[in-house]
Amino acid sequence: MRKSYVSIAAMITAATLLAACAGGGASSKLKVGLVTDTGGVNDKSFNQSAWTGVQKAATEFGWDAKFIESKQPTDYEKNIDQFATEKYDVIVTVGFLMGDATAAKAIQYPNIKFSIIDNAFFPTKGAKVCDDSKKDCYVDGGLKNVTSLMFQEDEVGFLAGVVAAGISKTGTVCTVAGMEIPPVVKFVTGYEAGAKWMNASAKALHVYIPSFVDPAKGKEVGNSMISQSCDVVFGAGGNTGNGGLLAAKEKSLAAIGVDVDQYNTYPEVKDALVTSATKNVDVAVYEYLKTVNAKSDKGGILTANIKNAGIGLAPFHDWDSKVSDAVKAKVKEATDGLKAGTIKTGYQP
Amino acid sequence: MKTESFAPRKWLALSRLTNSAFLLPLLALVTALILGAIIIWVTSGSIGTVFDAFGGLIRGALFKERGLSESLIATVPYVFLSLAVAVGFKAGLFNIGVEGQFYMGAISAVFVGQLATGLPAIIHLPLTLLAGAAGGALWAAIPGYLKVRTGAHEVITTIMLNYVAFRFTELIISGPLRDIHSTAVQTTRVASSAEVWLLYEVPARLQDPLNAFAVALIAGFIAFLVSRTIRRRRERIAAAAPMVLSVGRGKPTRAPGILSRHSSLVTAIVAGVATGVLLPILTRLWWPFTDQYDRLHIGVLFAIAAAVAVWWLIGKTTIGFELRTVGANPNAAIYAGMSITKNVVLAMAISGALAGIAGTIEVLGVSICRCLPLFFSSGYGFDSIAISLLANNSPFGILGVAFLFGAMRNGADLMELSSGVSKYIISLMQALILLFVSAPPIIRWLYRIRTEQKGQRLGLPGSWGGKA
Amino acid sequence: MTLALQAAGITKRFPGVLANDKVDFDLARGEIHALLGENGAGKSTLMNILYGLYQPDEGQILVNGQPIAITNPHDAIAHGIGMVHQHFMLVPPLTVTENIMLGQESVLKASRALGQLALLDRRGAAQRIRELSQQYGLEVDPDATVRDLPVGAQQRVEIVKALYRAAEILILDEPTAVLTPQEADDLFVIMRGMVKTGKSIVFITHKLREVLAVADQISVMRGGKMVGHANPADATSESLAQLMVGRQVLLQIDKADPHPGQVVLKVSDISVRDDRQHMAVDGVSFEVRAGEVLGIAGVQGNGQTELAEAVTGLRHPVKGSMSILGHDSTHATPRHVIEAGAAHIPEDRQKHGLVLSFSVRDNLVLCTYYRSPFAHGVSINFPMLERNADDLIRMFDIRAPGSDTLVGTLSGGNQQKVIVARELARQVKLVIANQPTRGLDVGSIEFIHGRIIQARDKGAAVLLVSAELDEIMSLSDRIAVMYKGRILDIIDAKTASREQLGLLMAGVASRQ
Repeated sequence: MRKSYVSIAAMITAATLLAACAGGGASSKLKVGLVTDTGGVNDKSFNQSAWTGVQKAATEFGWDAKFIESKQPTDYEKNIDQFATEKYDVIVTVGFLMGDATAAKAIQYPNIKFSIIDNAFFPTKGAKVCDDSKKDCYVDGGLKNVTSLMFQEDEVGFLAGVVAAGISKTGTVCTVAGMEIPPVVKFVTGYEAGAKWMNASAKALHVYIPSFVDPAKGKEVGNSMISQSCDVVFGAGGNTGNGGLLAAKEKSLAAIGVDVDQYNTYPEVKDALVTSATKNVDVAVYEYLKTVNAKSDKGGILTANIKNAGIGLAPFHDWDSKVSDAVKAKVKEATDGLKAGTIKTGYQP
Repeated sequence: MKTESFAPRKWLALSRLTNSAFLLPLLALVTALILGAIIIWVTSGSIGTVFDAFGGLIRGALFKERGLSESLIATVPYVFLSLAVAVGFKAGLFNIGVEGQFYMGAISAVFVGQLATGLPAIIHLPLTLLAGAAGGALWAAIPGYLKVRTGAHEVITTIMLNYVAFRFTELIISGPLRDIHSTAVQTTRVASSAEVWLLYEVPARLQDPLNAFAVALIAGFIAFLVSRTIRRRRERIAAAAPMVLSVGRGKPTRAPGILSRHSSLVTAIVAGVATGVLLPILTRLWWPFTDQYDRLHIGVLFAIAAAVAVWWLIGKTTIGFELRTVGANPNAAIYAGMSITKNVVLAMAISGALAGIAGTIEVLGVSICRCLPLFFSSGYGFDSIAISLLANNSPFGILGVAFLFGAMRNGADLMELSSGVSKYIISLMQALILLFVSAPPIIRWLYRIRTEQKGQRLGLPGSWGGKA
Repeated sequence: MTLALQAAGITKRFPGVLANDKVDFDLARGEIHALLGENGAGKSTLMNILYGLYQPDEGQILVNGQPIAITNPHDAIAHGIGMVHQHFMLVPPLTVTENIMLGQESVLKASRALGQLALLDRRGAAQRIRELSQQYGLEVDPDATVRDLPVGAQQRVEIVKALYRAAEILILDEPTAVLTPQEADDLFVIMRGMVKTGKSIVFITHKLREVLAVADQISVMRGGKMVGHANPADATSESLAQLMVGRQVLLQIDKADPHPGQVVLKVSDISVRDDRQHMAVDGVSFEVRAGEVLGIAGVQGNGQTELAEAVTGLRHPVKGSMSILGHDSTHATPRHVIEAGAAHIPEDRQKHGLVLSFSVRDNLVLCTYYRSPFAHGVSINFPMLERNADDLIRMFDIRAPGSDTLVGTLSGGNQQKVIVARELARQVKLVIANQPTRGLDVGSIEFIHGRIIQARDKGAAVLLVSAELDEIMSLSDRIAVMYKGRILDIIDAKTASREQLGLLMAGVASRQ
């Protein structure tokens, strides 16, 4: 009799403990989801880089990490919602194109942390979320739970411009740019300012192409600028920009990649690739998730710049011997100047 | 050949079933799902993953929060585009340019949608839909005209015009219609009056008397059609009974009485008034769609209406009769006095109009900015060719198959989340379905369905049903 | 006499049709056995069963007294059964040798180790083909491309193909349908030669003259049943026709004298180009009056087709004018011509006259679907279409399981009846009938001829184009003979002789 009482009690205790453990386990294991834009997770660019950052954090902190690829712009809301209804704790979205969808969902789910790469929210007249009656979207605009991960593309563009003007023989450098949107404009402005800083008589050309997925057009534009004596082509526009890199490679000229170290992601042009103006999205995402882990995240805008190593030039790789020490010294000088704030890129938002 | 030698009815019914247009697609679907399951099993090495995957698929497509809504949202463009493809097929045209027509419809709709402000929805929304339809129709009419005038094959021209449409919309979006206030490259938002209503918004929208009036008109119109169809059918059967053979002599036997002649009109008015007055009140009191984050829109109803309209147009009208004749045997169509030019251009225009409306609804009802961003559609048009084939070009079949594809497209994400199986397995299964449907011998062989009932399939001159 | 092939109690059902009903068929060794029957009688079904294309529901097949199972054409070939289809099963771009080897490719010995990749032994095959063609008098050039061969030669290729596969029993399905009388006679000589060497031939046809000329034994099928056997020595055309159709048949139409009325169709000096821009019709003039039949005789390809197309609006003349009941129709569209009261029975029923994938019901309104009572506005009145179809199926004796049957599944005769029903049931003032009975069986021909005369007697003007002189002579009141795009003469049918017409058709003008 007594024995059975004991065993029943033991069983109940065990069951309760088990349940507690199971429940506790589930709640302690944070779930983080990444929604890519239409480029997909293997785009050798931001989406991929963001996913690298998410994975790194998830491994380190023991979280669950998943991604959803968007087929088209109308899927963004749905895909964010997918994670939200599956009770994910953190949702990372990639690219300014997802701004509207991220804002809408951030308001719908105030208890979920959102982070968006490359898009900052400012009070805008007539906007559905955060109109111009608000002071700051993150403070009183309803987006307390959102962290924007921004990059000072103009700074790294500036460094790329210094390199370009340094190795150019003709004195003309150029940019095959994607759509005329802030990140691209920042790259172009910085690049041209850097080239002029390096060589005041340098000429800089650029063409904006309204697409990120049109390498054929990019190549065509690249060739046309090469014929105008440009000998260092900066490809700043996703796959479209890659067309510019290819044009330079085929003419045995120099090229500068963008966003990620394209020596690894686009090896077909590695002979021409001097360096890449990289936005270390993986670093930025990881750093953000680290603050989440430390429960020190506050929302608002996090800016990655030269100073905090969220952006930077990729290694010269095969070109290391071809870039003179003088140029390398100028790059160092520019880096220090940008860090100290003594050099300005001239970009005005 | 003689009546007494006819096979028993039961046997006939069975053979109809095995020969029916639906059996093969159904078996194709089942087989593709089974193969998909096997592939998941083999690649994951665990049968549990198969259940996780299909569980996730079904939950995501139907049962999770807003799951069914999202499936229906994806279904709407599929329905319109598949109907567009089917109309082309019926007229013997392979319109693979629906994706381009979708874009042209969307851009036209955006133009009209943001051009006019201050118009009431009762005018603005139909006008915008019409603009979208016109954009798609004109775009599609070009290859139709080229085909009859120069013999340029529509497969080539429609594909080529797809690229022209993509580039053209890119130009317009990043140029004249670009929203200069937005960092994103997209057009200006359309006016609220041109938006396709979300179901959630319906009670609020109906508070506007003009909107209520519009809904009343539609309800009245539907009631009129239904009532008239029923009455006509009764009359025609009566009139056909003592039919005199030669054309022109057959007359209805009796003139219908004054009340029954106007009964449809009366029904329409009653239904219209009742809807116009009661619906705004009723929806205020009770309305099932209360989730403000549910994106389901009234485009779903448009899709059903479009399927009915296409069914009627193709199957029940002289227009459809001509299109089908031109599609099935253009020589006979010419012989019978039909115009090939008119019908080919018309078929392409109808097809394009449907595709254009698909683009319009996506812009006016789904796109978060109620505008046209870049990279708007992806693959709806090409999937629709598969849907149309699978549905055997039947408008109501398309409703079903489009929902299947929409649900698979939507459920795929949760499938991937909950099982780790890549959602591209869905594309694989859809490709398998298409393969099986376009190569029926595989399915016949798998399920041992005998083919000889269809003598023509053997490519022989003789065939059953009369020839010895 | 030993039996080469025996089919016992063969029954075959198709949905809605009993195609073969306990059919017995015995083929003796070394005989030409004619299998006679109207379209739809079950001849082709029986032969397709023997050749393994269909499986019988009941019954047995014996070859040389041994029961065998034939589940596909390979089995049939293995048992020495070869078939020459009405529509040839040849690959046009390949050579004769390649076509004959197809499916039974012999390979060079040296390359046999390559398996599927072994080289074809074309030379050996060509040699064998030459031997066969010499042995049976089948003139065939092994190196010719099939595409370039005339129809008669293609048929010889088919026969050689069967012989190449060591066929002892040959099934010839309507072999003369595509041949000129001269070519047909050549074929009969070849057939005679083959049976002398011990081969047996099943000869499917519905042409009585040929049966009597060549067959050793005659079997007649009707409505899926074997209804009789006859010996050519004892049979006459009339007796066979009666057996085939099941009743007395009028081989010669019985018609009253014409009562020509007003001019319905007036054609003045028109010239028409064909698709290759040759002047196919060159300055032709004639009139057709209400209540008369004007026959256009001539060897195929002398512009008759283009003339009929011009009259019906399918092709526009480059010169001259036409009018229907006084209204100019030179540049009228087909729709205008139809609405002026014309009916058109086109030359090629499957290409122009019918939509094979449509039902009988829909084909019966192909030209009138948009008119009352078949349509109100754009809405089609389906009950009325049904009713119309049911009436016409009954009145024109169209053998179809129902009005929803697809026209493509009907026999040629019934397809033609659908066209005739559609065109002649209307109130018509002008009938343009181009080859109205080509390829049809006796019963259907008789029926259609009767309908055309009936239309004439009701006051329609009839323009009859036919390459069959018998048809022209039995139906026409006046006969125009076309030669190289011109009408050489128009003569009264009563006084016309076969010789006179034959000379005109050969281009010898009688009055010059």
